[in-house]
Amino acid sequence: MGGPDSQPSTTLCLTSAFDDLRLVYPWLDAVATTVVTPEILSAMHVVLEEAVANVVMHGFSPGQDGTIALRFAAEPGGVTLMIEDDGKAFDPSAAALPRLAGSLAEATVGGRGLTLIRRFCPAIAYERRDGRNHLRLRFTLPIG
Amino acid sequence: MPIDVQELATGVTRVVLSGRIDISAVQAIDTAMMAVAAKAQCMVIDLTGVEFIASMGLRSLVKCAKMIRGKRGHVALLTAPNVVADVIRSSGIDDLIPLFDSDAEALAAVSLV
Repeated sequence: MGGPDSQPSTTLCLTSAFDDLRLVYPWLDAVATTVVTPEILSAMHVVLEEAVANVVMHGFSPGQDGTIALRFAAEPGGVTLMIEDDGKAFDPSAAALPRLAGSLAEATVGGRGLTLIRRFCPAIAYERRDGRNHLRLRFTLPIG
Repeated sequence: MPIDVQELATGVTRVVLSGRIDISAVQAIDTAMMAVAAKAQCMVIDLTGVEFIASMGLRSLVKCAKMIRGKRGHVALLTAPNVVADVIRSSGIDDLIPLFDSDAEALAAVSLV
């Protein structure tokens, strides 16, 4: 652990245990709060929760232990979140969006995560490499 | 994650949520909301003090609304014009549960006449 002046780690490693998901928010705040606007940080929270929850809930077989690595990178004009996992292959940028229900009676309880990822992240790139999913989520910073 | 339940004289139950409805909080919210929904017939879910919601939180709203509607009751959402309203509209939830930014309109929408 670093001292009080040390920089937060730009990498966070999680297991596929559901309880690990709660580590995502303080990590994102630590790495991104001073870099992006509050509006972009809110969007990043929404997208990161959706993306990581998708992996935890759907990426692994019951009883399978998985790993998820999150990385944050600040570049000129924007920031990128990278999510790497060893779960089943899944491309959130290309998967079909679920059909919207016409009424509350027909509506499923879940299934809105992909819609939110695409709405709140303007640039999504996916690659399956070496048996792992690599998802890049880029957020553009306002000019000026 | 605070949750405040108010039984109004008009027969409407107002559920006031605040803070973050994220994965850390959603299970407790879900349990509390469903307990209230089991007894309520007309409900306004007041999200004006909520700072964050995503699809895990939306699941709770839909579950709650389905229970109320299943009893031929009425439910409405109340939000401030912020990222929470944006998430609800982007996900299409407002097509299923009416969304208002005015307390009076939300109460009127669920009140029995």
